[in-house]
Amino acid sequence: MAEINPIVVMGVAGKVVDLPVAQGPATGYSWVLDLPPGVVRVEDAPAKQSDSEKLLGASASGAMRVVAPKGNYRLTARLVRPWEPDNPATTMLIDLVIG
Amino acid sequence: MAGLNIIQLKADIKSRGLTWVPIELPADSKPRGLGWDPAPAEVTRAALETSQRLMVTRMSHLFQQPMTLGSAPKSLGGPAATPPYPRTFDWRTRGVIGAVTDQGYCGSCVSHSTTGVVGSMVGVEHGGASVHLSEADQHFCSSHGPNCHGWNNGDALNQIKTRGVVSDADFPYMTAFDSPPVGDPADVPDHLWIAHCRAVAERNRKIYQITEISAWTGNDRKTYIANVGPLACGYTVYEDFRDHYGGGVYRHVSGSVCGGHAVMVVGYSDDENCWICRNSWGAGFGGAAHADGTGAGFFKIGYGECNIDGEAFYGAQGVIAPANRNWGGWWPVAGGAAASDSSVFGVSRSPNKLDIFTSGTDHGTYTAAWQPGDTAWRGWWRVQGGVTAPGTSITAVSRSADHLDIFCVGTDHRIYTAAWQNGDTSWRGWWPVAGGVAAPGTSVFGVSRSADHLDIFCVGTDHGTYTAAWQPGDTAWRGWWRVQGGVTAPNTSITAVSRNTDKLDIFCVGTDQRIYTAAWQAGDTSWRGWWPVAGGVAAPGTSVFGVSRAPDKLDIFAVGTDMQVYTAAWQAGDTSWRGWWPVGHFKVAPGTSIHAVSRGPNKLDIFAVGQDGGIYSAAWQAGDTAWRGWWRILGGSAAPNTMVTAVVRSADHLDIFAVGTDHHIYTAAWQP
Repeated sequence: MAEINPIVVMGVAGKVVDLPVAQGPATGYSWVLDLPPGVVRVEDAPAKQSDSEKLLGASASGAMRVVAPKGNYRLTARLVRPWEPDNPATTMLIDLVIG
Repeated sequence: MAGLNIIQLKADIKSRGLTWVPIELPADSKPRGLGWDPAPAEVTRAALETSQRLMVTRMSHLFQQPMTLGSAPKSLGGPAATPPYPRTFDWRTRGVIGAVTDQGYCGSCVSHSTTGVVGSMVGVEHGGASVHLSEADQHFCSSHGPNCHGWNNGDALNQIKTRGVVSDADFPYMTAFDSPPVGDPADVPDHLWIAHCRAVAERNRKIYQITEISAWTGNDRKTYIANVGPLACGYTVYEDFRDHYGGGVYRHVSGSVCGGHAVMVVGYSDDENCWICRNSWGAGFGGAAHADGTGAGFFKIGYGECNIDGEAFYGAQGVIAPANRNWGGWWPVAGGAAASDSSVFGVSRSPNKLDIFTSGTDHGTYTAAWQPGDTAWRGWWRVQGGVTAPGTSITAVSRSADHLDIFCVGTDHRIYTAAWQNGDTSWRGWWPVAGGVAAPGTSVFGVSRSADHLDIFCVGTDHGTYTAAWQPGDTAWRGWWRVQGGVTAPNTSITAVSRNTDKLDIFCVGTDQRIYTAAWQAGDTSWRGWWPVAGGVAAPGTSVFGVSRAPDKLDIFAVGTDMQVYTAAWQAGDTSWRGWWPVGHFKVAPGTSIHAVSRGPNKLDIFAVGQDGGIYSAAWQAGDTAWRGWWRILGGSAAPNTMVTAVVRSADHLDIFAVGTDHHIYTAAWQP
């Protein structure tokens, strides 16, 4: 299992914050967020426009987004497939600092 | 599913004294995107045109009708009352669908689908099992580039056609990534795995290529699947497919778009109205294998679901495989070089001995030899005095053990012969053969129909067919006799086969480009024929070569007007030739012919120069229901307007000879 060092993300209380993870292309994998109390996921950002010649295997959504009140939070993002939830391909730690 | 009667609903609201107020969508709302756009208009248009053409030609492209002269391709059955496909079909039942692959966290699904299709076509076209082709070589080393972004099936197949792809054994998928795989920190927010292209040693000798790509829509997709092979398709993945599919026929119900995805379509079921597909998300997708054939990486998806009709399904045919490991070469033959448009012909004068002949760059006649124990070819020696006309080749016959007779067209277009036998320290000759004169650009071919008998054939200056003969006791050649009626097209030669003792069969391309044969056997006072061979038509400037794989059996090979390779067969008892059948999906270079040998009873091996100049082979043996091949032989390439020729020096031993693009002479060998 690959683990990425914590990434610090800054935000403003009550405002949408873009996380450094997205659903990615259709690979069976998806990022599952373990959100601490107070942090709420909202609709993802729009996807980057893909080259029309590269649409099969391209991502269809943008960054995952959350809203949170002021405070410091640690989020865990696990890249997993639904049929093997205990075997994440990658785990990412996100330190969310909301001012 | 329960229905909602909107009229009744409005009446109920009114009866309760309420008011129907439609809720307006927010001003900034946008319709939910498909996640990927339907195929570009030009792709859809091309697919529709293909479909229209196939409706007219009744799938002639697909099923490779025999070559014909001036007549329309045969129909599969005309406007069919019943579809030309069964209600269900699944290539997994034929053992040609490889194991489920796993693309990991990488948008390489297109390379998994397209290499899956081509790998399966190896099994379909070459016989046997599928080959696991390298998705990594395809996705990360091709025009796509070393990254995990998406692609499209058409471009990907074009890369296999032009660049080829190696087997997974040569470049395993997971070795393209770090161990363990690392998400690209610069690829925010996707963090797709970092991919690397790894060099494959001697890649050119290891690649699989295809010669044809086709796009199919509508029910033609089922016809193709049921009759040819699996297809690659694209569709939109939704969350319910990714997160909840557990077998059965998938139909989208809920969830947002995850993205466009490519998979291999291995079958279909009209009973369940679905396509049967192999996914590339590992064998865990869909749960354990279910009785209906789904799960364990396979799934079924309803017809028309998830924009699956948004673009054509793609097929691949004409797989060129690398030569197997039993081939060795190419080795230069002792520094020899050939004149332009001349080929190398050889003969085995006794078991495991090889002698080859060519017209050198000075148009002199040169020979080289090899026998067991030699670590290198001996030669080239010049056969003194033999100077040949441009564009002709030297041909050879061994009429008995350790006897060689060679034939050429001289600069005066007269036909000459020279001879060598065991104990000679130099060649004897050249002698003119009975005053024979050949048409420009033609060669003389001979055969020995029984021990120490020689019969040779040439195209005269009037383009008639002429023959001369020699047998022990003759002090001079007898002939030339004209084989009545045989008038040939320009730049073609007469070739001959002896299918049994004292029997001769000759073949030519007539002035109408049709292929004709004539025959003679002991007791005949004149030749019988000419007969057209089953409607066969040859490309300009090509000749027909034949071989006898068993007594009284004949197989001949020609280049059709579409440059494909065709074969026809005859055996004792047949009242007419059978054929022509195309040999796979393979086209040859202009001005080259097909050479054939039989390395054992009922075994055939043929050799050709492809349109890319590469040297290719195909094979057939008793029991085969179709030709196996084509294989590219070790990355070899031939000079324009030359052919690759073969010699069987002992049972199941093949030696082939070619003039390289540098006009040097090269050889390669095969043994079990």
